[in-house]
Amino acid sequence: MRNITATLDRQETGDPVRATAAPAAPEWAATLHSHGPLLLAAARAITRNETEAEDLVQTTFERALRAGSTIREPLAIRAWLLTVQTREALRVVRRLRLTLRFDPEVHELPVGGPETAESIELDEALGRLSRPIRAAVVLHHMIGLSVRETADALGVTENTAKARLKTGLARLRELLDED
Amino acid sequence: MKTDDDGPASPGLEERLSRRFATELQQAERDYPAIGRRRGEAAERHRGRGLMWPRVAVSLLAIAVLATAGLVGLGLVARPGTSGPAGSDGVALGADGLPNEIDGQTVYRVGDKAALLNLDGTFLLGGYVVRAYYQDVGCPDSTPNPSADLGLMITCSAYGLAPTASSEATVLGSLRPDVLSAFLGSPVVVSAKGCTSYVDPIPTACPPVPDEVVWPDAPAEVGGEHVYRAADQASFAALHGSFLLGGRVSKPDVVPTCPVPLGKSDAETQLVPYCSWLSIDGLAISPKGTFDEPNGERVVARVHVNDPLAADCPADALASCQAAIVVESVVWRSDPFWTPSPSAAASGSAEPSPAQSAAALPSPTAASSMSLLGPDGVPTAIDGQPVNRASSLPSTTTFLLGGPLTRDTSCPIGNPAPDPNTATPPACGFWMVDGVKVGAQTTLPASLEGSLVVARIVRSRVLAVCVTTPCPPSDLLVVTEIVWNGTPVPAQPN
Repeated sequence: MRNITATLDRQETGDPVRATAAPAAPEWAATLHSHGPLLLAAARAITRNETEAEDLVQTTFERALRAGSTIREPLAIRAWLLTVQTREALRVVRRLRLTLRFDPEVHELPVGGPETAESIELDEALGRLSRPIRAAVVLHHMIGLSVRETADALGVTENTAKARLKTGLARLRELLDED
Repeated sequence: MKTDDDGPASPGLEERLSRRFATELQQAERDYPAIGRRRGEAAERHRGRGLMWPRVAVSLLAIAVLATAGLVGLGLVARPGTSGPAGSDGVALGADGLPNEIDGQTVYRVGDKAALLNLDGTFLLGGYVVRAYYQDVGCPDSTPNPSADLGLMITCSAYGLAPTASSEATVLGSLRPDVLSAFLGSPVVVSAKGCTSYVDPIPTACPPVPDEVVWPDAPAEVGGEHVYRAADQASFAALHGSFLLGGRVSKPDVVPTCPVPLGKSDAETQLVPYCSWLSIDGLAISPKGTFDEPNGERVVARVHVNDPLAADCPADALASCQAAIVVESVVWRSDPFWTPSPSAAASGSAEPSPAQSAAALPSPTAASSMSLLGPDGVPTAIDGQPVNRASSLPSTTTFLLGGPLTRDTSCPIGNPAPDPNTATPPACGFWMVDGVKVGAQTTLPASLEGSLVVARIVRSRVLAVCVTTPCPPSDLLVVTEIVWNGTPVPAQPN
């Protein structure tokens, strides 16, 4: 007998289940593509690895395509996509931790924008955070999700999310030598 | 950017983070059209062909457990190692209950992170089979996919490998759950394939092919029922009803039909075949129905001893008949694509009926490119292939043999009685081509007896099975096809 249980309830996911009719497939794909840059930027920031980031976006895209007909609240799509992507990113790192060594130095991400000393310094500091903590910082402080949304995306309680954010900021300050 | 109650405010740092992401987003907006088009189209292609459940199912993994059928061929028989306690099949086990090596290949542990890091290609991986759970938007066997009403994420279950029976799976089986489910809680060694990309092992770098258990040969139980092994043979007689027997099947590559039984009762013929070529871990078996497992296949079969037919055996063969292991059906097979079929247990003769055999036999034809006939009326070559005679048998695996097709009736019927412990083909009852004793892959039509024929011959190494003692393999020439037949040879006056 299959053991299938809902692991997120509607409240936790921001309830994308309301009201409007399911988007048609072409519209849905277009909607997803409109979120593509955000997903890519978030994936790059969380993973620090271009290949993994692209894989993550693709995986998220695939899942969204599968679930497309069941998503009825376009406004919640962004948070849901980030949730799927973040969890996949964290799941990947769990896998890696279980069996393999992950060497961020080998896969250092060449980021866009002006390569100012400040940017490089910040990137390096972010890269030295653990992935769960970095994901929390990215989602909340960089993308702008609320603590609640960040907690949902990470699959943790709000208190845990707050703790990770606090730890992340403290570590960044330390690394950036901020007062 | 955010100033929720997430700790001491740090406006400067938050502003930097926000600016950094704005830059990242700008870059992504420039990059995405090309990446998104490429990756998005790939995703849509996945979706179009039934989606990527294999990918999703295995995306939990750091390493996909993949099948390599070649690994599990005849040669991959577990052999004793140099240290550690020995398992029931003689394999040296490490302290964790897993073999250290199999057939000279190192068995890596699922928990051996450092070793796994540097592995690529195919290797042996050992661990304990456990249930594994992971979250996804849909499970491979979930129909329909979860709706949004369920929150879009559900828990999927699968079978995976863990360092111990009580720890969490670190490697997930990639395909049919039946393959691993029979070993739940037990140590196994699977053929595994390392992936080029450890980040997302499935999509392109690692084509999804089934995992396969290479050790042990058979699960300890199937459906909660104990699986006996050859080493338990002494206890079979005390078992009532059917039981499960697991192990590796042995049979020749080309199975000849047995010679005509001479002086044996039907019961004896069925239970203790005159030539019994089939065995499981060396134990001769007598299939009651179709038993078409390939040589080397690991199976669990439902069998019984003390078959009612034994009562019809003559007194001197009664013990052998009662001890005969009769296969009723195959309930588990290591082939990951195999599914149990009710027809597998169907009763009936393992041998095709004469009518079936005749129908299956290729019609003898006058070969279109036959060379001139030799002095005795047998072609010297067909389709450019030389037709050999008894006096000049080649050493090749396959060849053509021409001459009269006759029966070997050199021994008196029923006397001496066939020795069930002989490894050599029976002394009489075989067909002969040009005086050379041959087996036949299918029953040859009796109407051909006495005709001149050209037969395609395959040299077959027969893993003969003896009732009580091990038998060395023996070579047998097997007719796979009659490619030409001529007129009957006139009977020679004695």
